[in-house]
Amino acid sequence: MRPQMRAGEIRTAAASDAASLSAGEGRREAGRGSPRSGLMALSVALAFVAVGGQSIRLALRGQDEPTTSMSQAVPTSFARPDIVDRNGRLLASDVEMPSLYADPALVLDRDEVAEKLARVLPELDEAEVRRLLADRSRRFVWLRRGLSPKLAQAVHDLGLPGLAFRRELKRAYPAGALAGHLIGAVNVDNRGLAGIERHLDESGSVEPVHGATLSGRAPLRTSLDLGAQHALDEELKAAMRRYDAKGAAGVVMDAVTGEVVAAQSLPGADPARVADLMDDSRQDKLTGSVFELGSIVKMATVAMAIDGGQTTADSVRDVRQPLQAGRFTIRDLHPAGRPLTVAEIFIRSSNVGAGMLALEAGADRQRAFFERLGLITPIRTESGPVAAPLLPAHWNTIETITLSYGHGMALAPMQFAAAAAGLVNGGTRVTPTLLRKLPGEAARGERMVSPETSRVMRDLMRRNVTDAAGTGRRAAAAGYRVGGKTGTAELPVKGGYRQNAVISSFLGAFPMEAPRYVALVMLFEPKPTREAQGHVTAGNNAAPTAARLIERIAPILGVMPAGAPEPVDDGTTVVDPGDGPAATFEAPVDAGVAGFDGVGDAKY
Amino acid sequence: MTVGNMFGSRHRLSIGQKLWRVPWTLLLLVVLVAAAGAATLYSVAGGSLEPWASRHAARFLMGLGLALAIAVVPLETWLRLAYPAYAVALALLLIVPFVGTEVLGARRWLTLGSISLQPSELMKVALVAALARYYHDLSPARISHPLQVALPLAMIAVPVVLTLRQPDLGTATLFAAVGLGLMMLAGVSVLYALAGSVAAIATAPAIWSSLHAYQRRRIEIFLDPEKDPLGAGYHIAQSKIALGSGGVSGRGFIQGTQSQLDFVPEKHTDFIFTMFAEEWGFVGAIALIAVFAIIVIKLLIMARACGSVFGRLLIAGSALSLFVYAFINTAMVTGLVPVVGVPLPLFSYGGTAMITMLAGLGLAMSARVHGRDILPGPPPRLPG
Repeated sequence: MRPQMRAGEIRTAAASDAASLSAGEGRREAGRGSPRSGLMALSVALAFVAVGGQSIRLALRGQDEPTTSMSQAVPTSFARPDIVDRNGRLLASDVEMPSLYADPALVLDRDEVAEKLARVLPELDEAEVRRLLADRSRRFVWLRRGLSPKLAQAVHDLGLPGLAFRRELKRAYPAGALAGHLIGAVNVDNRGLAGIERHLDESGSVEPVHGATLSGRAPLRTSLDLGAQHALDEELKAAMRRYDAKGAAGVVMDAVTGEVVAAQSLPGADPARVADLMDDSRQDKLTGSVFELGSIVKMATVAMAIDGGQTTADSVRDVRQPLQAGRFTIRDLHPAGRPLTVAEIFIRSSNVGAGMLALEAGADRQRAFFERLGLITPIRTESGPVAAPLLPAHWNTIETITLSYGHGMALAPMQFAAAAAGLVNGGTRVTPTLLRKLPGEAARGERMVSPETSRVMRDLMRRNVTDAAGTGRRAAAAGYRVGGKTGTAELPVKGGYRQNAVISSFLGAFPMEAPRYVALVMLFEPKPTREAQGHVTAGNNAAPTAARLIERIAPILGVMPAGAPEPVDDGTTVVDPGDGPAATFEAPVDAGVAGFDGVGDAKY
Repeated sequence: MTVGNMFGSRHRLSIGQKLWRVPWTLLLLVVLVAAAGAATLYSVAGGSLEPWASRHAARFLMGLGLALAIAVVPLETWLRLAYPAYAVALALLLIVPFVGTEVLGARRWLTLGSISLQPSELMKVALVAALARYYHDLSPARISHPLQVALPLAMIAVPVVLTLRQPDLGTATLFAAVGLGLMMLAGVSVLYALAGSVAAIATAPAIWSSLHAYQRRRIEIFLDPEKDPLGAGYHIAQSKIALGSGGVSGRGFIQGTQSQLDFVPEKHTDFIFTMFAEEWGFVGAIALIAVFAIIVIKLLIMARACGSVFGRLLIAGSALSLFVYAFINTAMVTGLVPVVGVPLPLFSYGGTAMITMLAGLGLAMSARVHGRDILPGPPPRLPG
């Protein structure tokens, strides 16, 4: 019972005041009050005490200034880790640079600003600056991102109100256009657009930051060797001049791990110039385009014939008659006039012979073997997808024949180089990679061909260079046991092929008895210059270029010349030149550079 | 037969006597709150009477006049009007979804020619009056009878549901809190409250799923404001920062950064307490809270002294409304409860809510002035 709370009783209480009824009860009501309304009053007080306490707590928390978190939430830039070559040499790095902006509301004379700025920064569009400064309600407009300190000082010295600088990150590429296609590019906010730069973004190594905060992450160590890369770049440029070629491309790949130690496509792309990546004439010929590769594909054809037990290197084929397939006639450039062994078919690069080997295998086996070599399925590297192979629409007799010598199917050179590496390295698959693999980190790929087939291929490739009749004899590099295969592919035009417009290539490996590297050199539309003995065939231009290249890069990569003592540990040993190697030995690449591991190239 | 008929009222008060009985100290505190509100609005506008402070003051004076007018009308008149007022308010609430005007995605307003009317405001007063009338007529023995509990629950639930659908979570909360509070004050068994709490916890998931996405989000962000510091949590985060920046003694009148820099949203209405606390520090904030507490507690004490159930519950209802608004608002801006759009009574800018609040106070004062009137009702439970 709650007597005080009863409505009737309160009414009674009221009545008692007026009519002297139940006076005692009424007085009790007035005197003691109701426990419920007392409880209510207590709750009210407690609730307000809670609010008061909370406002004291907030006040004592000592927030200095109310801030708007809005501006801080939008990152102003992205901090990227450095990109270095396999020895730690810098390929890409963030640097702090002042960026020029204007507050139009504070600009006194917009014409003066535009004119004076244009004098200091000639590439600035004066009309554009006027337009940007016209809207005085905008309090922030970028005028120029990433100025050099010197130019920033010059702008500062103009003393124009309303102009100011903000420190930003800008990507710098100390190696210039070397391996530019693989490195890629970043946009104005320092986000990766292409290549390894994009790989950094996609792998989560890039952090949004405010202002010019450098990334604290470890650099990304690529498989590239800056020294080899530089040599490749120079040799390709020299070859373009020598043979008056429109373009050139080359890749040097570890024959077992697939690490790309050097790769260049010319005309090159400068990572600092995003426009280069959009320029069709500068497209990456190694991974961004596909070509009919010509006779270097005979490596695959001969390997197919031998690996299946279909034939041996010494069995003979009668290649005197041209091959007929429908309305097409396949003939050799330099007919031997006698039956050739399978080895000779390879060494002399006989189209008829290759076609016969392919016909013996049949279209299905040919396709299956190409698939096994990884030539059918598109691949990708860390710098993005490799251009997908262009396969024949129908795989009939004529296609089987032309595919045997590298026509009728277009491949990205990088993809074929990986297949070739697998053919010579003992027969295991190679996946091209742009990241450095530590010794032991790279497992051997799955088996592609038998070790015996691989051994025969190594032998044939070596003989192609050493044989007096070999198409690759000009690839003989002094001191290095080079082997390889030439290829001269006619460039297609609508409905046929252009005479004397070719891609000449040499796919080599060294040292041939146990290849550590494969090197692919390609020249695009070389002319029959005097240096090429008046020919455009690969034996006269690509092969000698490969020889020069290998002579230069083998020492850099720690490959000993024939007859030189084997390195003791990992190539860091400086071999005494008095021992008589023909090539000059460079000290291990980075042994003297502090901060890097100094271990040149730990090879097996 | 009623008590009133049996004895008649022996106190026929003159207007002068009635005004003498008006609780002037209470009114003084109310004026203090409204004046502080006007001063803060002056500051919010950057030291200008326009657009808020002058209108706030004018409306308050109008409302005060209305309250005094209501106070001198005999309580019996209000008793007779209680049910009709509730019926009218309910009818208007029912038709709002069909003929109402939509403002900012909520349909709360009825437009009659040039007059805009918010039926839920009328309901705030009518619900209190109707519940007070209900318990006034109910025999004490039957207060906790299930049927007699179900009816007032329905009287509360219908407007709650209707306002929730407008949607207006703030007003619905007020109806529920004030209505249930009145039922408890009227003497309904505590067992019902306990059972209700258990049922509420059990049905919470269902209620959760019926809430609007924005309402759910407010609760989620209240529970973890860091979740969305730039979006919906922005209100609370900025409000807390502003309260913190006030420190002990505040930044001083018209010195609050919020008015200049617009960090806090709705700073002249729902978040005005933040403004006040930033400028006057926690000393000012606590003083304001204390004034509210004193007003509410004074009203509760006044209720106890009232001679009729109707009057007593009218006063208590007014106290509860003031409390619920003031508490939810201040607790909201200090981050103690979710953001529910309720103004700080008498302080925030906004005419309708202030008039309603003052009308409620007017009813409470009428109950006080006519505290000794004998109202028609069932016969008292005589001793023995």
